[in-house]
Parts: sequence; structure tokens; C-alpha cells
Amino acid sequence: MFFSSHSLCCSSRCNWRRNASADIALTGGAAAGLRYVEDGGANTNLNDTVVDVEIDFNIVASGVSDSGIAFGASVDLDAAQNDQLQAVGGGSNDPEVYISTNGLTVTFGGVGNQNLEGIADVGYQGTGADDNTQ
Amino acid sequence: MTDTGAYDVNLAYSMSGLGFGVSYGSDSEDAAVSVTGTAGTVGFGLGYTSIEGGSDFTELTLATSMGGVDFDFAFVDENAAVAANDLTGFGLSASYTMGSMTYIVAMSDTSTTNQDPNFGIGFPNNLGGGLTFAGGVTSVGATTPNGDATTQADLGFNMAF
Repeated sequence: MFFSSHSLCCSSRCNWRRNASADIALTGGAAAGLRYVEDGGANTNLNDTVVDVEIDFNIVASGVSDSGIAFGASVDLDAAQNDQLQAVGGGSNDPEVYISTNGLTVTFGGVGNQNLEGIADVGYQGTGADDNTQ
Repeated sequence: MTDTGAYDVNLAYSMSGLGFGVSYGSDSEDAAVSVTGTAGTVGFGLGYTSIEGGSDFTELTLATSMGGVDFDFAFVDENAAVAANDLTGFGLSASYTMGSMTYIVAMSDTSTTNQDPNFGIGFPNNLGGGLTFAGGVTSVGATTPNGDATTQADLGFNMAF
């Protein structure tokens, strides 16, 4: 889903110069299903099987300067519920701002470490087949 | 590897098919570097993470395809602050896609005393339009002498918007 930057920056308090070439995208994912952990390890209630829901939405803004420098910012909106208990839902997180040119990208904010692509896990949320490499 | 450490600056640079990355925590002083690329039909990644006052991690990943089967390998070596806590771990996974269905098997193990390996099998079924139906079962190895493995499983939907 894309919005024009004009539609999200229209009050008199907005000090940013509007950029007609910038885009703001709303992306993300969701997961829902049943999770089972033998011997009551699925959650703190010691249930074996629980209903699990997770939602991760991302607001991603990007633009390009007149000289070709790409720039952007993103923030996540995450929430989850596990066995009727909301585990996450504190609002926005992982703020990131980046500048990119000539193959070099510098990102500031909630960046992670150098996550290399590991082995595959199995299951819609992962069941721990790869845990010993984490 | 799980997001180990705390960082607020990341540099990524790509050149001649190689990718270089650096993460640094301006307050925590945690640091991580990586290089990724492809050698022939094998994709590789090499990483090093240093947690200030804690462990250092060296990581190697390899990926390739043979006969329509995708193989992934990962190795992690932890040099802990206390030598007795040093640890190595490795994992292998193979996946095969037929139509909308992908079949995956995976295993991982560590050098932890009395730790048995984990074995998993699962599937994602791509239903199109960003919707995937997936499930998996993993036998998580015992962590005590002569202990029993425990089973973890899930079944549900993933949605990408």
C-alpha cells in the first residue's frame, strides 16, 4: 500500500520540505496458528498447545535526492498474542534511518547485527530445529 | 544467528558480487562484521561478532543447490568470556520444492555436554497472493544424561502484505 508523502505531512507543524518523489509504503506480515510444546512449555500457563497470533507491520519511507542519493526511514508496529496473553503491543519500535549511494548504505537506529542466512527452521513460526546454530 | 548484541549504526557495501557489513553500538561498543558472496554455485557468509565484556562469535554459512534440492549449512563458534563456556554449534537443512509445496528437513547440534541434536521436518505450502500454509515438527534433543527429547510443533498461516 503506497501513500503520497503529501497526504501524511499536511499540518502547519510539519517542518519537513515535501518531496513529490518520495514514497511511503505500508508493508508487513502476520501469522496465526497453533503451537505445541510437549510437557507444558508452550507458555507460562504450562499448556501444551496454544493459539498464537503475531502481526508485524512496517512503515517504510524512501526518496532519492536530485544527485541520486537514496534515503529513507522505517518503523515497525508489532503486536502478538499467545494463549490469550498479549506478549507484545507497546507501539512502534525498530526506528531506522538510512542514506545510500554508490553501493554504500549507512543505517542509523534499531539496526541488528550482521545476520547471516542460516539453515532453515520448520513450521510457520519455527519449532527450533535450527536452535543450536543461534 | 540470533540478533546478539546491541547496535545503532550499520554500514553495508557491495562490490564485485561481494557484500560487506559492519554493525556497531555507539554506547554498548558491541561490534559485528560480515562478508557474503558466491563462489561458483556455493553462496557463503562469514561473520564475526564481539560483545563488549562478553563472548565473541565466529560464524560460517554455506548454501548450494544440487538436483533441485537446496542445502544450507551453518557453523557457529562461541569464544566465551569464561573458557569453560566456549561452545560450538552447527546445523544442516535441505529443502525441495514441488509445485507450491516445499519440503524441509533440518538438524542442529552443539558441543554442550549431554546435549542431543535437534531434528525437524516441515512444509510451507505457498497458496499465492502472499498467503502460506505451513507446519513443522521438531524433536528437541535432551539436555540431561539419558534424558528424553521433547517435541515442538506448529501449524498455521503466514501472510505477507
